[in-house]
Amino acid sequence: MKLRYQHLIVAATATAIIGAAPLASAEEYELLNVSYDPTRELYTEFNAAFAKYYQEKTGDTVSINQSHGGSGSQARSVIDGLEADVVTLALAGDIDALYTEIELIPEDWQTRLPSHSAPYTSTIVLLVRKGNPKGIKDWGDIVKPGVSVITPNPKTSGGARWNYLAAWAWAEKEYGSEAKAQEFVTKLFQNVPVLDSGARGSTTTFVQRGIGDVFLSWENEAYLAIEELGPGEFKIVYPSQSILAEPPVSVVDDVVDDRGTREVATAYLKYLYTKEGQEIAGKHYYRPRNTKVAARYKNQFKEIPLVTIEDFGGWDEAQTKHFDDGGIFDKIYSEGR
Amino acid sequence: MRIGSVQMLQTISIRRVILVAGAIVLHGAAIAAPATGDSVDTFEQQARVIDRNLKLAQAEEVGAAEDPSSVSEEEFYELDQKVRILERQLEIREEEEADALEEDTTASADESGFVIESGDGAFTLKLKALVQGDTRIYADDEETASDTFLVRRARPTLEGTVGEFVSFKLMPDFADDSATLIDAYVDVDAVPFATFRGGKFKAPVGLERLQSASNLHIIERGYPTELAPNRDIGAELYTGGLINGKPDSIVSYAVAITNGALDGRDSPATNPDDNFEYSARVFAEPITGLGFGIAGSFGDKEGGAGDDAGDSLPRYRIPGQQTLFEYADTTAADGQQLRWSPQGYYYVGSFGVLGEYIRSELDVTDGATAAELSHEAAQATAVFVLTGEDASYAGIEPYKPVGSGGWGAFEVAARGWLDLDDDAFPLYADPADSISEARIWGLGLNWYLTKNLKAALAYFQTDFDSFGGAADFPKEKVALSRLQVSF
Repeated sequence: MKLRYQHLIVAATATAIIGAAPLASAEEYELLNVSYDPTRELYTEFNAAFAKYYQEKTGDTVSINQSHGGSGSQARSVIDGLEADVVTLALAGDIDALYTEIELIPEDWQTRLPSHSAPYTSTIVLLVRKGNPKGIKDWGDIVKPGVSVITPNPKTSGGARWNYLAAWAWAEKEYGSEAKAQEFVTKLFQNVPVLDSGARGSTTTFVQRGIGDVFLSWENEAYLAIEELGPGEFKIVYPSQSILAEPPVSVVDDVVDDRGTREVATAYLKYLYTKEGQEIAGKHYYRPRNTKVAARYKNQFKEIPLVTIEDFGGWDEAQTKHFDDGGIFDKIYSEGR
Repeated sequence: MRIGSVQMLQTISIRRVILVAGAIVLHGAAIAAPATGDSVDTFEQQARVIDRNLKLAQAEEVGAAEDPSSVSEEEFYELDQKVRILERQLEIREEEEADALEEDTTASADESGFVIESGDGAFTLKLKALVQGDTRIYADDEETASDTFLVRRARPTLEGTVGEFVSFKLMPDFADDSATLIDAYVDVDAVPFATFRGGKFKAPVGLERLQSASNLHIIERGYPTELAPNRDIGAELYTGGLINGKPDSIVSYAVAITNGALDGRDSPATNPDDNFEYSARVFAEPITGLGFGIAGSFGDKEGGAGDDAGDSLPRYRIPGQQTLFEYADTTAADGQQLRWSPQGYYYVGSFGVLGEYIRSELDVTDGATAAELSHEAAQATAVFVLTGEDASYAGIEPYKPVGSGGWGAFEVAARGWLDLDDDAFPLYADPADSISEARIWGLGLNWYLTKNLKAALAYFQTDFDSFGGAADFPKEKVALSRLQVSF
């Protein structure tokens, strides 16, 4: 019997179809969310809610693994090969690096989700100890002699970069020049005894190790410290001016296409913008974007004047000028030591 | 409040000051010293002792208010803060050192081989090896083959990755007196669902051929492997499959263009006949343990008769590795060769069965006449792991290896059949020298002492037919044994 080529092709096709038939049943997905340091509690609750929602909607099960650390360090890990399906980092500049260094994401990643892909916002506040023994009221008080300031390392932590820029913006407004602002942040970092790599490390330093007089903190982290780690032991001081922090999120395109998780990863991030996702954010002291949900948490957050990253020319310019190797932070930190 | 004041809210004893100062000195020295594990541990232990004593001293402050040698609460607070800062700096440094250690290049040696790996895992080099020492004992005095010890395979292997997308394998064999290149290829895995392979590699046709030699259920492969191509040189696109170390893939495929290997053999170093061979495979593994698919190859083969016949026409061997079919010197390949092979396996618990059928069709000529010859072979190998481990196409790992309180794992196996086209006789093969059919049954016993050490016994009995009864080929009864080390 001479076998025709057509018979071989039909047999091969039948094999593929029969073998793939079980694909029609429910899928199981596993996602990795690489996030910045203080979002542990937020995503513990959010992930459970999303998994339940997704299973009810699609029948598929999804489990989400979390990685937390300083935002800059986390971005570096993803660039170096950590296979994150999504990144939820402290600032857009860190996610931009996934494009500029290795094109894991498209250049226009920030346009793919509402509000520049930042589903919630936060700001920077001053956390002091009970009774505010050093009388901290505003940025100017933290550079006084004898005041010990806790803030993470801006080279690794996104929160630290927001802290630095908030302080710089106040000083530039207060003293009228960039030179004075640089002098101000130089004095600030002279008062910093310990530089943790991320915001959560600094929380540990200030709250659990009892080091420092004032902690430059994410607003949500300050409330968390008061609620969970020291009711009555700490107090939030809102400065006269701070910065609008917009932690963005993105799917990591190269990874989700390789792992076949684009659909579920996109749904995961979109869920942050739903009413449920916004409620969870508000509950964990992030300022929701959804106006109706934000109205319910209005009394939780104080309204103060906020500068934005655009006042610094955007993250590209701010990163290059202040935080890249040889930038202003490198100069002031070595001067101060 | 200053020293000696009787109106102090709280006084702090000199003892506490000394303890705090001591802690500051020790912590500071630890921070300043080059980081070695022992020195950091020593300093930290000493600092912790002082801290503990500090807390004890604090508890003993009853009545200390009247101690005239005390310092102010403010000064003590500053000293206390310094201790805490130093401790925290030490803690952070230890965390950073632990992180750095994880990022450093590592070298490891375990049952999977010897591995050097960069901190980010992108660059790896693995040294592995397969060594098999066999015996062959032929049961009948009529056998012309000699009982023998032999080194069946001696294959050191270098595998590795170079960056995120590129991997390689280099495997020579030193079993014969001269070194032979068995595998030498580079894989580029840059796009989803398509890995590119270039070099010398197993052609994607025979199921048992694709099984690693260290994982065979019976010492020698069955007859279908005699009709399938072995290693070939060319390029391949493939993805997925247990064979390629991706057991989660439901459907895998491979398509290759190569020089064209003879049945059961590697291709020569260069293409002898200016024709390429095209092979393809589709294999489904819808549930763990069940795999089925079809593979095939086609291409033209042309070869001169006489001395060149060996390059274009195969010889077929039986389990004792004796050649019992070869084409006449006047025969040459002249036209198309087509192979097709439905194949599959099913492993559930300790039981498994592997089966394949292959048909190899080849156009031949003796210069005066031409024919299309079709040879076919089939096998079914059943296995059962006596000690309860799961049977598998990819090998067995004993639950309780020898040396770890157990006796390893024991596996028994049984099996195949080869039918050569009668049209080969008498023009293209001498019926007095070559068999026309072989029917075999075999029994094997494998002892997996550890993941790396395996001992095997097998017995094969093969009955032969000749074309037209031209020759009386005696049964082959051969007992094989093997001691294998692999990692």
